[in-house]
Amino acid sequence: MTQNEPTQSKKKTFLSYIQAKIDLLKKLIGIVDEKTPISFKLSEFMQEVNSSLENLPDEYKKNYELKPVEDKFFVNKESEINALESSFSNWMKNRFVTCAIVGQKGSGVTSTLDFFLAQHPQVETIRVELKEKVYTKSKYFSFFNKLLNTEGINTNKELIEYLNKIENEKIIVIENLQHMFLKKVGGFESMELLYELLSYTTKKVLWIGVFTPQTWNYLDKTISISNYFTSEIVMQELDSQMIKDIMLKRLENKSTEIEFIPNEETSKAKTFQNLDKEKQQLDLEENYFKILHKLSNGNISLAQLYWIRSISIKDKNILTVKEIDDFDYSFIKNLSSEVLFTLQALILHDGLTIKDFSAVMRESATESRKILMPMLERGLLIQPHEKFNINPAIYKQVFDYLSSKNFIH
Amino acid sequence: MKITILIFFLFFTSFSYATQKEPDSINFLEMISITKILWTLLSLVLSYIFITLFAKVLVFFAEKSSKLRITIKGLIPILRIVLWSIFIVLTIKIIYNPPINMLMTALASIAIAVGFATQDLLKNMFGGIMLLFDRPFKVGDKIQIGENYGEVLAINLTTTRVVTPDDSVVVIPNMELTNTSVSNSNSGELYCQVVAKIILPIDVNTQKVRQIAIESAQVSKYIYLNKPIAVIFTNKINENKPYLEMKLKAYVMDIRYEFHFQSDMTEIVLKELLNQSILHKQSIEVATK
Repeated sequence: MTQNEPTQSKKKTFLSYIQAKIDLLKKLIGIVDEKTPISFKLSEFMQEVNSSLENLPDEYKKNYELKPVEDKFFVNKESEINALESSFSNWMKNRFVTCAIVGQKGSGVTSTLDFFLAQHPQVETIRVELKEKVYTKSKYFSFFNKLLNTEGINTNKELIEYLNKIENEKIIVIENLQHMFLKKVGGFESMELLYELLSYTTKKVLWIGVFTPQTWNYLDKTISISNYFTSEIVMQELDSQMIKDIMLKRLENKSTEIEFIPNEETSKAKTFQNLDKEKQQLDLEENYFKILHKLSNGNISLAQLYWIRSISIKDKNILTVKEIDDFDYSFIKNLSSEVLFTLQALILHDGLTIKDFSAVMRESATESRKILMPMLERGLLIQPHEKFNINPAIYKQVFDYLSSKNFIH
Repeated sequence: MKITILIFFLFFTSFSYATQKEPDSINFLEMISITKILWTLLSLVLSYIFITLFAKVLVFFAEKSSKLRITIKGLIPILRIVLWSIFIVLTIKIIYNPPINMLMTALASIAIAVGFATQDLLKNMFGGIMLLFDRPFKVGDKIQIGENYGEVLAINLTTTRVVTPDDSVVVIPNMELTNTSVSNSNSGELYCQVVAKIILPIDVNTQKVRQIAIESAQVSKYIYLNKPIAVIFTNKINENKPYLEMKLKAYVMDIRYEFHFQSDMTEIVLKELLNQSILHKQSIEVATK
């Protein structure tokens, strides 16, 4: 009886292994169409990142906080910098130049701008980041009054006159210009005023606007935004090696040893067990950054979120890196059309408050809350401040799915 | 049923011709036996199961992909005919293995007999074959035939099924489809043009209305922006009173949202025209009276 037990358990393990493989194959082919529930891990993603960051010692925490990088950590964005430099030199030659930087949030736009502006300290710079929607005439003028420290400017004509009369030329950088419109009738008013302002003031001002690619595409198809920006600089995705360099560069000055920890599945794999310890580490490292690149889609901020989620400090000088557990994204295919249209609106606007969402969807605030709150609870959305945004952990998968369904085109 | 008729004619005509014209060749009666008939029936049942399952799997995969949905569904009727032909030929060849002369004679007699017996059926079948090769529309397209408008559900050998917006299935004989004009809204693409008609008073500011109409289409969640938006005004007269009919033409991102989009555009335009006092309730009444 006791001799039979190990044989039976072996048989059971083998059968369950085969069953698991068949299930995996079925899923890959798409034969099974079962409704996969949304993982709890998804709603806990941001919490896990925050608690992991909290548990890090201060010297590490400082390096991995989500903010534009310091010069020493800046990884080369040569082509983007060159394009900015070329626009700048053309503007200095009194040519009509306006610049649009098109990049995903977290793709390194702010750091690139920091680097570029640091090369030109002689030119006065005004820099601002739009945090809320500025889509009406009144909001537009109060925004510029605040930006330029003026009072009572209520028409574009006055604004143009004011800027053309300034003594020294300026660089004005407006980040998050995707917040200067709302997808409703009359929602492009501010954008149109901005175009007029840009076209009459380029002699005195080098305008640099930053947009997300989705908003840029939408505005280009609706109000031909590319006609108003002479130079369009698209932020390039980072490759796997670059992401690795960025993550590891922050440990350069520390005598920290990195140890990659395999998950249960990897540690049980025979091929992995047959390797010696050094090779196991190399193998884990290579796989880790490959997955990190795939999940982050070359986006620095997103890569950093995954990185923070997997690291912890062991014995002061040893930084352990857990293998990334990928989510099951198949639930996206079962989302209702109402949810898909909500995600479409949030992508196009880079997040919306309940008030703005109800204006875009032409729903009441109560109805909008009824749509957004369950999505927030299920982990599809996050709400760091007032705005609802798509959970970064599923952003790429949602975007790809919406593109495949023509919701975004 | 169709296949049973075919088998019956195959049996009948081969028997009479093969035995008369080629007395030295194998007698048709020698070729058949109860076992062979049973094998034939089994083969046909298996073919039917295989083809039905295959079509279902294709429909399943088609529904998974928006881009390939219409293409895959459009291929299903062609594949069905090809597979049936292959299976029938294989069944005859493997089970009966008739000499070529006998086969040719049988086929000729089938053609004559079936032609006489089922003229309308044949017309529909040829209509179906013409539809598959000419491809004026595919499964998944939105078409208008006479008074019927809807999404093509299936193109069968003799009929085409169309589901209308009010969810009724209309069965149209293929012969009719080849004889009448068919209007196709999307021609195999996921997007299609949608027209929202709005009645306006004759003295309305058309420039302003055009701007509002275009913006209304642009902000609809159903819009497909890779295609142009057009606004057309037409002067109409109703009971000696002139009025303007505005047609707002834009593309929907998925034909399944066609009517949602039409309604959405109409709602947005009217709401905005009323908000901006370009249109008043009284003027709508006057225009439509």
